[in-house]
Amino acid sequence: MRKATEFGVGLTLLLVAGGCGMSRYEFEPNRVYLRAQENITRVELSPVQRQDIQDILAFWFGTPDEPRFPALADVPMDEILDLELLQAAAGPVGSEEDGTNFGVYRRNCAVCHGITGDGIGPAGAFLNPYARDFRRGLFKYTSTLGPMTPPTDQDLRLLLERGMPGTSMPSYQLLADRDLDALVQYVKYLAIRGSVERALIVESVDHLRDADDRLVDVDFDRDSPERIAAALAELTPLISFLARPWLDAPSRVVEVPPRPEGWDSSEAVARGRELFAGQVANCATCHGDDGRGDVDTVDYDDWTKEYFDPQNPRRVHEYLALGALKPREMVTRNLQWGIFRGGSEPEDVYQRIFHGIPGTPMPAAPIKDADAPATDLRLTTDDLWDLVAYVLFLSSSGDLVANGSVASSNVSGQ
Amino acid sequence: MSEKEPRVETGEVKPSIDGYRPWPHRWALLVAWTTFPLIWVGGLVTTYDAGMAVPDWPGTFGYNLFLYPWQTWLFGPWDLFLEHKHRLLASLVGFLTIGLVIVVYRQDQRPWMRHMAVVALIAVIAQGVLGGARVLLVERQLAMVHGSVGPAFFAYCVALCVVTSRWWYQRKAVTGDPNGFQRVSVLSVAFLAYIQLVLGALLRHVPEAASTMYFEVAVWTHLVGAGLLLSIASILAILMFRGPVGDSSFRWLSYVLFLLVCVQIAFGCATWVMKYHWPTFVVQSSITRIYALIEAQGMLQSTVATAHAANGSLLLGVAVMLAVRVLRVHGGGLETKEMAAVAASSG
Amino acid sequence: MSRFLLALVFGVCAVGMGSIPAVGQQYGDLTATFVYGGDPFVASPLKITSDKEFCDRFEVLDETLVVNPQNQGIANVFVWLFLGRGEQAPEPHPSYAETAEDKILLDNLECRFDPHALVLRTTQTLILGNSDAIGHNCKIDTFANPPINYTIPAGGQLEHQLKMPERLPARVSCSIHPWMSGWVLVKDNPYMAVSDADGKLEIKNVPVGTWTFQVWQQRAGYVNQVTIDGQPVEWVRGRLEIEINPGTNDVGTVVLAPELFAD
Repeated sequence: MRKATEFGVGLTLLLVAGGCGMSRYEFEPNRVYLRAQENITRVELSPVQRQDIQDILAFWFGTPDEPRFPALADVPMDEILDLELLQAAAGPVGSEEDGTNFGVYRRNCAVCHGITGDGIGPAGAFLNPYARDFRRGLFKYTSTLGPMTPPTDQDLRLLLERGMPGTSMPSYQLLADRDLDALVQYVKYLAIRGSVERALIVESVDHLRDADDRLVDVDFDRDSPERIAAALAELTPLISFLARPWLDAPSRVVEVPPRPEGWDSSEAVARGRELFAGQVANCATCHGDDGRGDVDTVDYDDWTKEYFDPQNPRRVHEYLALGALKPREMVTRNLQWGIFRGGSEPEDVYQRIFHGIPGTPMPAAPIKDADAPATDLRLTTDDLWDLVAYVLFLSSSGDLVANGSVASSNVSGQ
Repeated sequence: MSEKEPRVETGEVKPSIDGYRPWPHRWALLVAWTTFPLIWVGGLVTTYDAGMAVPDWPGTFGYNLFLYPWQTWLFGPWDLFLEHKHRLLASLVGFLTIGLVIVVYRQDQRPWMRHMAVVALIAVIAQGVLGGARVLLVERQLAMVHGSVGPAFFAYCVALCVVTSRWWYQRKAVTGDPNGFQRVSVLSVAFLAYIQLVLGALLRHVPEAASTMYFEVAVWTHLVGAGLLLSIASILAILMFRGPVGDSSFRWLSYVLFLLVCVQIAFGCATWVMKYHWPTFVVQSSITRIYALIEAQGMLQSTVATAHAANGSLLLGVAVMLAVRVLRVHGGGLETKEMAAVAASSG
Repeated sequence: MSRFLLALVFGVCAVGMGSIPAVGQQYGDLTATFVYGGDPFVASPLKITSDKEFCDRFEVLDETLVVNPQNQGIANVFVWLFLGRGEQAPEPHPSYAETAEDKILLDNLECRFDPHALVLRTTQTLILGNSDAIGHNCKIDTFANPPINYTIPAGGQLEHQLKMPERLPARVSCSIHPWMSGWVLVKDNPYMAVSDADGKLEIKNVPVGTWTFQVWQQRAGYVNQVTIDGQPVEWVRGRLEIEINPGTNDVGTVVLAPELFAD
């Protein structure tokens, strides 16, 4: 019934307004995260306190048409973000006579990822998986160590060029070099801006004494920019803390060791198969022995679990009303399909096993140090290569494995 | 009309070609056939988001539209190429429409026909100004309106083709409808085909800041429209197949229409998959292996989307052609002028 | 968050640097007992969805609220010393030095995390254990520390350091067995505790003076409405201010109404 009413209202709006005036190109406040934090702390921010968060963000980071970032004393922000490229990615779509494009983000990304990078663009609700919400600064397919270590520019760039098979994320390899670089910059910008917003929300719910207390005591409409900047200075450590990892990301890249001799031999596949089913790597518990991923697991990704508690599903409605997307259950990848979102080169698969997939239930493999004793249960990098061999074997001859014939004969025949 | 016993013309119609002159029809055909590719190119401009490739209007980077260096245009960036081609083609359609008015005034004695020709000219100018306003105001919503008026103009041209044709002069209106549903369904197909085009334009021009509900409502309405269109087109084809028809052309036109609707739905599904990937109810199945990776602005994606839009216009054109013809034959007591007006408004 | 942040920025991570407390500094202990105010509460068993052959033999209960049937005591209530923006933690009592580098075990035992809730100092090491005969993994969604998600082989152990203090207890989960959950609170000072099976907790040797403590339970969030000695008391954001005197300072028997735990 409610659905029907919504639909009716929507249709009327659609036909009457024709969408005119519905397009406000502004950053949306992160209402879902705010509500989640309010629920945890049992504190409700006043309208002024909420507006302060948005005003501070606008002062530091500008608008979707005019992005900017603050200069910090301790972190060189201009080494993280390139203002010129940011401006090329921002704003309305257009181009110059020589083919230089503007509004590259709006042209290519915003319909799914949204103006704010919240993954709730107009088409967002239709996608499965949903478009990434950049505001956590958390990315799934990176080459850097540690889940909250941001990706390098190269990681993001590669992802744009390759796209993500099996998802709505296209390959943008036909875009000009400069446009791709601009998009990388803009995604980083949205991620940093989004995580600063989250930190400001936490700061507000945690530390404001009462409804009249404010993060900063300024009048954003009247005070001079110098005065506002001075007042905001005590909050800039937030940005430094959240931006510095982007600066450090290149130093945290874990190089994939070269493929060992005979890495894809049938012996390697057989060893990989054993590891896959074994208790240490523990892949089969979720992916199943044959990699089909049809094991019954019920879980959600971290972006969803921020507003959805599977133990308490009814509470999600208050967040849906604030614009959150309906929770979608995670699906264990069917490795036999050979569709690897983060890339299907052996090195890509190695990275997925090594790092796990941040934000999802896929854990990082337990790796032992080179000098660990033999009794150490954990895996070596060679073990990982065996797993890669088996995973790629599954996808190349998956249907045969499913029938049980090739796998056993091939593997036991070595 | 409908209360009377349906009368069906079965015998040979006595040719009555008083007043028929070939040139108005030829001009009308020329305008229609030039407008059709103009619509594709317009669709391509949307596909490649090239609407703002030339920031000024009516000039082109300060040049007169026709004096813009052809080397820069032909060998320049793809979006500039598209946008400029669109403008040149649009100007051509404008000039041809002026020609049409002149030819009609000189050769066609029917006063309502002269009015229709003038309306065409006004429409083409308004459409041009709309396109210009979209550029000058940098307003995507206007692009959507511009994209919806285009096919309407094309449908209007098709109607002009029918009313200037020899066929029109040869046919005398007969009273009654062999099946009251025929006229209703043929008009609803034309009407629905147009609504679908508008919804399609709305989906293609969705503002990036619109809500998810806006888009969801548009998608579902477009889908329901497609379902309705398919049902009515198939009923129409069955009626025409089984029942007596006022003119043998109704039959094949209705078959073509049905076929175009089927093709259109296939193109529509393909357009979605190539833009937004598989819908949620199949995304976990191995079907996705058929088409796992989308290439943004790739050849396949652009071709299919443009084909969907072009076929939509073609479908509308055929529907209007059939509608005007059916009204001509089964218009009953309607005055020819009123019929033409109805036909025109259905486009 | 801002506290550790400011600490980070201004380089005042002075805690545990071995400086001698001011002469004459006095200390007192904080104690409290948390009890459930409603009818006896019975936890429901959780649905085992994977590794059923192994896990079904244990009765795995919902631990979002654990009430002792004998005395209504609520286990797993976290209490920690709250520090406002820019405030520094006090120099810890010398007695804390010997536990400063302890290894604290978070075990996977009988298809649940054992203990369900624990406190950890930034100087201590967390041992992620697995005493079960099946593989587990351990996902800790920390905010200030890099979150982790490690596979722990059957019978295996893994050491992990959490070097940054956290603002709230972090959720521990196991991706393979989604029903499993636990909580870890990481602070750079030792003034924190979790209530035991009887709902009792004790924070020893707090410097004398007025301090704010924060009270949190996973289902209730910040505990903001309580009854002490029949009197309703409001703790905004779960914060209670208390003057610590030498000796024992008892908050009293704190009654938490069932509404606090409502879904």
